[in-house]
Amino acid sequence: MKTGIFYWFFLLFVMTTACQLSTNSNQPLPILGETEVVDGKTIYPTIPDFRFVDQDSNVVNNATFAGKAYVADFFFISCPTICPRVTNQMLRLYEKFKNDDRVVLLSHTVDTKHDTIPRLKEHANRLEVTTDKWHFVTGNRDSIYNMANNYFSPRPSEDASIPGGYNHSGLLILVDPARHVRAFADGTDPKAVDKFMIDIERLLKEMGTKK
Amino acid sequence: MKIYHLFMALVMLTAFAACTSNDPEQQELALQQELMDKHDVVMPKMGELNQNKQKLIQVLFFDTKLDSLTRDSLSMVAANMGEVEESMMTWMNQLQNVKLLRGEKKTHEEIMAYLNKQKAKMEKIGSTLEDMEKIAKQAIVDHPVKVPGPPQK
Repeated sequence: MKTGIFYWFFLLFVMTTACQLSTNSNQPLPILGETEVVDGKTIYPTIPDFRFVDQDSNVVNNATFAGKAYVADFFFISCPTICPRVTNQMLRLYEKFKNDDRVVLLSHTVDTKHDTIPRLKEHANRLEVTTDKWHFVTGNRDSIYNMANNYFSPRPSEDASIPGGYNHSGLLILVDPARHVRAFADGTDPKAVDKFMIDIERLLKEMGTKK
Repeated sequence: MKIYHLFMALVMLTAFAACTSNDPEQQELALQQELMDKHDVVMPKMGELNQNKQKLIQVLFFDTKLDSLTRDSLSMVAANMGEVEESMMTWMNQLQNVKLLRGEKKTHEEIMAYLNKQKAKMEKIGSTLEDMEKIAKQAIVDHPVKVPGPPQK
């Protein structure tokens, strides 16, 4: 009798969990950041205009990501600790979404003096990745730091526990085609990146047909 | 008899621990880790340093009431903050790791001396950063400026 009740409770638990998981993955990702209400309309924070140059000397700006979702991060080539771990996780994203034109990766160097365009190209070649899928950009250092502030400002407060300043936190940021930040992940943690991949899938579902 | 075995096990364990800590490569790797830990404390502060440097430049640009002495000293602080940023990145680019140094056939003493020198450099960058940050933060509080926003489209 006791065993029977236990099994029923167990089944109920499994069903509830499964139901919750499926509901979560079907729901659209929230738009992150503080909202403003203007004339009765809710305004979400957006990524402002930017203009950098990538490993092929191409200008990379907001238009580069028109109609696409992109994952942004901040790194520098000589970084001895966190960046190599984050790059490995970015490579996982690259492999997973390699054949989906709706997803692009954008890595900003914070060492604009040493990470020159040829060096960024060399870095991309070493990783065996293509420019159309993964842009490694450089520019004015202050502008890159300011962009980092814009990307990280919608960060939920519970993520503030991630150690390190934003340029050394290894955070990955998911941005939608409307320039809204939709998700964050600790790029040093493979499990967090597993969940982040599900977030990207959710955003893609929202965006519609694969190109 | 049991006590004897316990005693011998303890002796062996102590001997093994002593042997490990005397291994030159282990010592080098431990010092390298110490260096990396120091780097990981300073590096996350670079973002805030850059933001405060930019705010300080805004103070210099927009506060027209600054006397020339204060202006000169704050200009120097902003320049030093830029130099700290540069020196951190330059440090990172010139840094050689133990594997590389061993490959270059450096002696244990040379490697330890190199790592200690790098540790001192990192400590210097860290302390200069702290000093400059303190002055910059105070100046930002003492001289609040209104920065005009981007032009409306």
